[in-house]
Order: sequence, then C-alpha cells, then structure tokens
Amino acid sequence: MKPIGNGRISARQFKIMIVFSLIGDSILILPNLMGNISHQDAWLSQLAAIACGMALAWAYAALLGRLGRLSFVGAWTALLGRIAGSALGLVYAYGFYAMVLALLAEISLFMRAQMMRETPAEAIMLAFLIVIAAGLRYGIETFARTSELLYPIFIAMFLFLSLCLLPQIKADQLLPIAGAGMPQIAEGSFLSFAYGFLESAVLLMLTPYLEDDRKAARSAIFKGFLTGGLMLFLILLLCVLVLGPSMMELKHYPTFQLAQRIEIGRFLERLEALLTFLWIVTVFYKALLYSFSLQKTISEIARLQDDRILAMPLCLLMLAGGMISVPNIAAYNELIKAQFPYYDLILYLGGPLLLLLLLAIPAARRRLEARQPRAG
Amino acid sequence: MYALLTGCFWLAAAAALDRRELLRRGRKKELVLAAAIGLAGLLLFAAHGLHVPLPNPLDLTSLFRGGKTG
Repeated sequence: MKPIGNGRISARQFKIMIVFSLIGDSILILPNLMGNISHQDAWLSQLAAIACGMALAWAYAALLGRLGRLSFVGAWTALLGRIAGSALGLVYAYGFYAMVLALLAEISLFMRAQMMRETPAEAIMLAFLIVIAAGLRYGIETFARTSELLYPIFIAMFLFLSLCLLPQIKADQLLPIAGAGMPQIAEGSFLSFAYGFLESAVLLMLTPYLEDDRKAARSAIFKGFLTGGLMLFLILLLCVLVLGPSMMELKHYPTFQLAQRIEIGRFLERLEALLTFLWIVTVFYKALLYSFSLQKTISEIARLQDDRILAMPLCLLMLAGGMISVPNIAAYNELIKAQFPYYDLILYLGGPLLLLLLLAIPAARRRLEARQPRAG
Repeated sequence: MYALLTGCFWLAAAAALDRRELLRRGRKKELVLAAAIGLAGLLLFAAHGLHVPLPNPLDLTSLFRGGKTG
C-alpha cells in the first residue's frame, strides 16, 4: 500500500466541514420542502430530524473509530476484495458525481432565479467549478484551513440574519402546534434527515486525513451534527415565525425571502445580496467535499499515486453533466422530492450501517487492520 | 462552439499544469486516466453544445424513486 499523504486535518476543521456539509443546500431547499409537508410544524420535524441525526452521528463515529486510516470506499475494497470493492466504489463514485451535479444545478437555478437572471447557467457553473478545481488541486489541508477562516464570517452573518429578523416575529404563526398531524411531521423530518444528516456521510471519505486523535474526531462528528442541525432548526423556526407557512410553501427559496425582509431603521435594506454569502459558502463546501470524495474514490479504485491530476478533468465532466442533467426547476423539484431522499437512504445510511455490522465480526476487523496503510 | 472552446481551453490548462511533472515522475496511469476523463467531459460538453440528445446522468437516481412525486 502507498504511504499516507501529507494532508492532515484537525478535529476542529473536521467539525467545521461537517457543519458546512450538513447545512449545505438544505438551508436553501428545506424550508420550502418542509413548508409544503409539515406546514407550521416544520420546526417540530427538524427537532425530530436532529434526534435521528444524533443517532446517525453515533453510527458514523463508531464507524470512524473502526476505519482507521482507510476511507469508507477503501474499507469496502479491503473487505470485499479488488473486483467487488471496485464495483461498489463505482456505485459510490456515481453517487458523489450525481450529488455534485445536483448541487451545481441548485446553485445555478438559485442564482438565475434570484440574482442574475440573464446570466447563462453555464457561466455560473463554470465560475463555481473553477473554484472547486482550485480547491481540489490545492488539496484537503488547504480547503480545511479555508473553512476555518470562513466559519467565523459565516456564524457572524447567520447571527446578523437571525437578530435582524427578531422584530418581525409573529408567534401566532406557530399555531396550531402539531396541527399538521404526525404523518406530515414524520415525513418532513425524513426529508430533513436525508438532506441534512445523511448527506454528511461524505465525512467518512475524509478519515485517512484526520489527525491521530480519534476521540476528538468522533466528538467533532457529534458537535458538527448538533451545530448544523440547530442552525437549520433556527432557520426553519424563523421561516415559520416571520414568513408563515403559506409563504414557505409558495416561495422556492424562503431563506432568501427572510433576508429580503431585513430592514433596519428604514435606511439599511436589500441586504440579501450580502447574505447570499451564507448559501454560496455552504453549497460550495458541500460540492467541494463531494468532488473531493469522487476524486479520492476514483484514485482508490485505479490505485493512483497522485490524484490531484484528476481535478481539472473531473470538473470538466461535472460541467458537462451539470448542463445536461437539470434543464429546469420543475425537473429539479421532481428530483429532490421523489428521488434524492431515497437514494440518500440507501447509499448513505444502508452502506455505512452494513459496513458497521460487518466490522462487528472479528475476522472482518482483522482483515481491515491487516490492510491499513503504513504511516509515512 | 463556445462549449468546445471552453472544454479545449480547460483541458489545455490541465495539461500545461500537470503533464510535464507526471511524465518526469513516470506516472503514466494517472496521465491516461486524466486524459480519458477529460476527453469524456469534452465530448459530453461539445455534444450538449451541439444539441445532441444525451441521456441524463441523474436518470440512474430514479432507481431509488419513492412513491410520492411532484
């Protein structure tokens, strides 16, 4: 096996990337999806999703402890052998690719609908992919450090958004509590669980790069899941309290509407362009992590010595795929409502849980330990 | 036409950045794989630019389709 590369990420950087990946596109699409399903009880759905998310964090943390210096796909290859492991790796490579395409479609649809109406989707995707290609070429350590720089700005803007909306809260919009009914609340929490928590499974591809303190890394998963889940909860609560359930259902991007509502003393308005930073940063990080996982998976399948060369060709493939895959918002809505949650469930819950169960068998654990890469 | 130009420019930049270093280190497998992925991307992008009907890469996710739509 080849020696481990030089890129190392700390537990704090790992936590921040989990928060960004968890909030990701959910901050844009979840309020509308949950408004349509759970209505005024979207916040209750999110609370239930956080509870399920913490159980998932436990499973991911347990798996992280057992993977050692192997990535999720690397561990499957070590257990199943070269051919079957590579076949499964290809399934995950497709999963990562599909996720990046969906995120590219999302950011281009959002930018064109809300801010840059005349700009071609190709131009928005290309601009996004140039930065992703740069991130992939510089490597994980660089983009992990960048996340540390961006995190305080992100938190400051998030707090600014939340605090500026406090005067517009109408508490009666929460009523009747649990009026949507338990099935609707459960369905809403399933969507939030799938889009927020399950899609953070990409963290399992970062295990070879974590610093040696595994306890801190496991704790980072719990902290990241809780922080991200609570931030989504706050956004959903603000959407219900400020916009009301009917606006949440009608508007494709209720969080953007929230930012448009900010008005300070009738002189500071139209802050939504500034707050777009929140959405762009989180979607960018999620897309970057999925692109990195795709690059890493291909590199593991082909046993490459250096995977950075794949960054630019992969980004070109993503640009082409992004243009072909989602022609309009109706097709995209169909995709996110009817297909992606189930796909997340199978790939990012089924796969990790199955691996965790397999690793409960001592022989499988020994086999994995024997195939750990040597430190270099 | 612009799709073809963008794709060619992108791949030329990738080649200029990495080709010499990879050849010097004798990493031909990396070079071949990167060229194959890049070429696939270029062909897809050009075909899309020429309005050739192409299968949607996200169609495979419909295998996981749930009961509810729209």
